[in-house]
Amino acid sequence: MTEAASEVILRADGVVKQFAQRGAGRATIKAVDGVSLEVRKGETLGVVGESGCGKSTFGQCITRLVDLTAGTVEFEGTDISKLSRREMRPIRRRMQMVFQDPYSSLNPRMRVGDIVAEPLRIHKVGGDRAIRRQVGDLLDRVGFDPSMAGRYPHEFSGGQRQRIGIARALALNPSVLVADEPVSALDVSVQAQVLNLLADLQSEFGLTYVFIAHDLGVVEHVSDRVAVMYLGEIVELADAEELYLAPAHHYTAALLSAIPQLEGDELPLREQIVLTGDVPSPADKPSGCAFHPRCPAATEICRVERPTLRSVGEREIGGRQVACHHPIALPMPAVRKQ
Amino acid sequence: MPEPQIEETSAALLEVDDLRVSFRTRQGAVGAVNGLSFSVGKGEVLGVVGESGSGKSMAMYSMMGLLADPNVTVTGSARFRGQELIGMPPKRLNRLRGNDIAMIFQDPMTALTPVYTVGWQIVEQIRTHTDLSREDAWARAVELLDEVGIPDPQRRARSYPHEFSGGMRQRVMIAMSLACNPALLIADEPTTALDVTTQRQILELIRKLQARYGSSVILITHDMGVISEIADRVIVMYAGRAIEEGDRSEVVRRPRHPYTWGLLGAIPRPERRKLPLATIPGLPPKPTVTTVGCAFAPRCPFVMDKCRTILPPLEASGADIDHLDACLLPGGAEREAIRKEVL
Repeated sequence: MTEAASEVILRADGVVKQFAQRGAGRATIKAVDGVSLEVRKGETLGVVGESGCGKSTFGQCITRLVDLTAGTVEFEGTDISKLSRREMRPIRRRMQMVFQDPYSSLNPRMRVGDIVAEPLRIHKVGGDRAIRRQVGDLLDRVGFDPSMAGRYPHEFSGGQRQRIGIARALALNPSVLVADEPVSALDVSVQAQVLNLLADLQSEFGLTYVFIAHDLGVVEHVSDRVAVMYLGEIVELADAEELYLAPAHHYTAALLSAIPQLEGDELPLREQIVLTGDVPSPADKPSGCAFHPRCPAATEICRVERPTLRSVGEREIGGRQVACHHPIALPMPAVRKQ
Repeated sequence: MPEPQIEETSAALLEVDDLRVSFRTRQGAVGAVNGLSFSVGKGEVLGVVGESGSGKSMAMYSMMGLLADPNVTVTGSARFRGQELIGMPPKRLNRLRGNDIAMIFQDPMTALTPVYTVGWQIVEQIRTHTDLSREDAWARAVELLDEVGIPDPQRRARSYPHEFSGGMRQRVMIAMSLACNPALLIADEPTTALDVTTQRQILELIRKLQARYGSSVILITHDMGVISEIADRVIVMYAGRAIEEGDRSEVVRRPRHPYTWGLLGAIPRPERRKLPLATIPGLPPKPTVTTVGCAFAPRCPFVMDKCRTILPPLEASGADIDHLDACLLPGGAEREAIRKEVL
């Protein structure tokens, strides 16, 4: 696949989301601070970062669950950043979300069949019988017997509920699925079931995924490309394999070296980088490069000038982008798999 | 030879034998821990791994007398330095807790009192168990905060828990647990609520302090990666029982139980990017349903008829006599061959 040629399905340009802080003299927090990226048709774009980095808010921006403070989001060629709720309706059919907590994202008083049917009813897709048949198909597709439609969410385990959430998201046959921490509440064996299901569905329906998660291992596993966020900004965006083999941003490097590793795993030799201190609060964002107080390579310029996301490496288009004044030198062009 | 054996038992700090915890519910007795036996040596880090509901936390809580509920029955034995913990009068257990055995929990916010400063809480801990004066205890509290890497400990001792981040709160918890230099630290998912870079800091800290004080640590976690980084020995739990036990490298590199194979296979690995993950079909057994035979049998890809009737004992099945597993599959090289098919 020539990546540069593949169609862009979702484009975020300079997205900013600002929240007003309660009390405290109307201070504001920029949860998302100028994020631009493109999602290509059929790919999985991973968005990874620690708590408070703005990855979930960014997910809510591109699905328009919140209003943008600035910037634009273009979906299938339409600028959706200023559409009203009513105008968003037809768009929502094409772009669905899967949420983190399968316990709070399903209405406990609704039967599973009704939960999955709800989007179909809201969008008036077919009559009762057609809907019932489709619900049966959807449940079957995510691994349930259609006879389960009469049960309530509490009768299911966490992993099963997440599959119900996925069936609901698929009901309207969307082209993009934005999944916010879809497996982080699940045990590892159940997590694997859900990840495999998502992969199967992607190839079956040609879905495009935006996969938001804090778990780098999971993000690497599912993603074609990965955007790393820190304090509301993208600090690095690259092909998943390349990113994990050789990070260019010092934060990415620290993040990667912090993943607990299984003994015997064949991994690129990685220097242990233990960051000191905590992620600063977005309300108290450092000047210049937001990462500079914790960065081992920070110099004077990092304190004063915010680095822009720019291309590095051998490929100009579709290549790696990094926002750093002193990026880690990349190794010789990697031999890419055909 | 009887002699080295005696030495071995005396080296164990904690010895647990056939521990059982059951809850009385409307659906009848529910077994959370169903005959767990293990020991922790002096200065050893024991990792206990298992998924939700495997009984790993319940086992520890029951030993520590934290399940004081008329509907909970705890039987079996847990000897700490030779003293029986199960059924120990609460007063004596209280003295042991905090003094000799300390515990840290997953959520440091709920484990700290929001209405007192962290310094006050550490001082209380110190004064309960020692006869230090208030002033000396305060100085010690500041020292402890410094030791666990809290910047500006003088000032931070006067802060309240909500003024700390999650990682910093966990450091406070660790400082508190170290207040009396315990011989055994039980850490229940201490890094699960934390970000990965903070998790790294806390694991480093536990390792550093463990080396410094020579304490033994029981680390309860669901994360094989965390186990692989810090544990000397590993117990894998399933349905309230240990199903595999051995040296960390043995269990991670040459696991012998099909459940452990599944657990390890389900972890995304860089070299298997985009390939399907190994999964364990089905769900963990409901504790309300008592199983005869191996509890993993309904989910096991290698299940045999006898698995449904015989409860497999935890014993060595290979060359390493300290590597135990509870499985009826053929042992030795034959088991290795089966594993290589799936993992």
